[in-house]
Amino acid sequence: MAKTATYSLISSQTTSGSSTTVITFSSIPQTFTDLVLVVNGTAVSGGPDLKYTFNSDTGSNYARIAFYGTGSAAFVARDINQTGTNTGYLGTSNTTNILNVPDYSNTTTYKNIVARINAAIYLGTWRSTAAISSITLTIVSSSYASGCTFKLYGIEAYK
Amino acid sequence: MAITKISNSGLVNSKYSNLSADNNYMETIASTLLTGSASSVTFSNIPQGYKHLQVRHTVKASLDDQDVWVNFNGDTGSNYSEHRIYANQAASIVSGGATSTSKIEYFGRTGAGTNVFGANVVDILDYSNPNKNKTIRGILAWDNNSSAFVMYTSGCWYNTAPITSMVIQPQGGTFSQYSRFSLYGIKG
Repeated sequence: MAKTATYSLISSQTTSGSSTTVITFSSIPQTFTDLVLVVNGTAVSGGPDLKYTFNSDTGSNYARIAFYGTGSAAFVARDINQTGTNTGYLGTSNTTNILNVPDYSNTTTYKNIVARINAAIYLGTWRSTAAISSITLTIVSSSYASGCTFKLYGIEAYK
Repeated sequence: MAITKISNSGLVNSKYSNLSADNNYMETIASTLLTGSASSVTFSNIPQGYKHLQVRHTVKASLDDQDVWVNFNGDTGSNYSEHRIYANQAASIVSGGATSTSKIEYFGRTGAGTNVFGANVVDILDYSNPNKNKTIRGILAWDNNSSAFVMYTSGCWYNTAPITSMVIQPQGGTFSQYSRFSLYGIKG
């Protein structure tokens, strides 16, 4: 069977102005195996978290563990029973977030975000077996600077 | 001409510093979604036409929170090493490593609890280069809202042979139904 080139761009958004606080990807096709979301940009102020919710679920169904270093020490941050998973952040200098959402379309497992942000790794979990059809990114206590890019890719496993 | 290199040299606050600027830079090689339990998963006859490999696996085993091991090309001799740093829900941060092992012991981590699968993304760098020992690096994690685990891992197979096969198995128990193992080639 022929190999398939994959890691396909599904959708891309770029902020204009400095007042956007929410980015949503909806109607996500269910034809891939994994999703990868790449967020690149800055916050207007501070170093705010990015809070992810799936399928408009804002119940207390999310958890997060973050593992990061500051250059002088290592830290762990832990949240459970949250209304979204803070699995990313943006600084006021350019920050890249690469988030993997494996097996997003299956209906038998809880959903994970495995993320790498600069020198940190995060795991976010959504305790639902529903297939992910939408992703919302809310920046916490700040707004996205103009020119932030959000690119959603689909990775298709061999069939 | 396809974009083959991204550089931010000379640019300030470049927005082109991530691998994902390329579209369709991966190719599917093989994948298995377990329909029942399995003691191991094997990828064989791995084609040699890529720059790197990536294994993406979401796994659960009959025993919770197990390491996932890998052997390359059938080698079970003491020809591997690994290093890791990880954290758990109690904010314990641990580093460790081992040398002269008979497998890479942190190729993945299985989940713990109902519907909780470990999420693992592992790169195998320069897998087909006959002049280099083979290196892996990975992010492994799971969370069941009570306990959690997240790890950076690296490993080495002290052999310059191109990787043509790999056997993946849990430290204990068997892989569970709905575990998925997918192998991709990364074009260079």
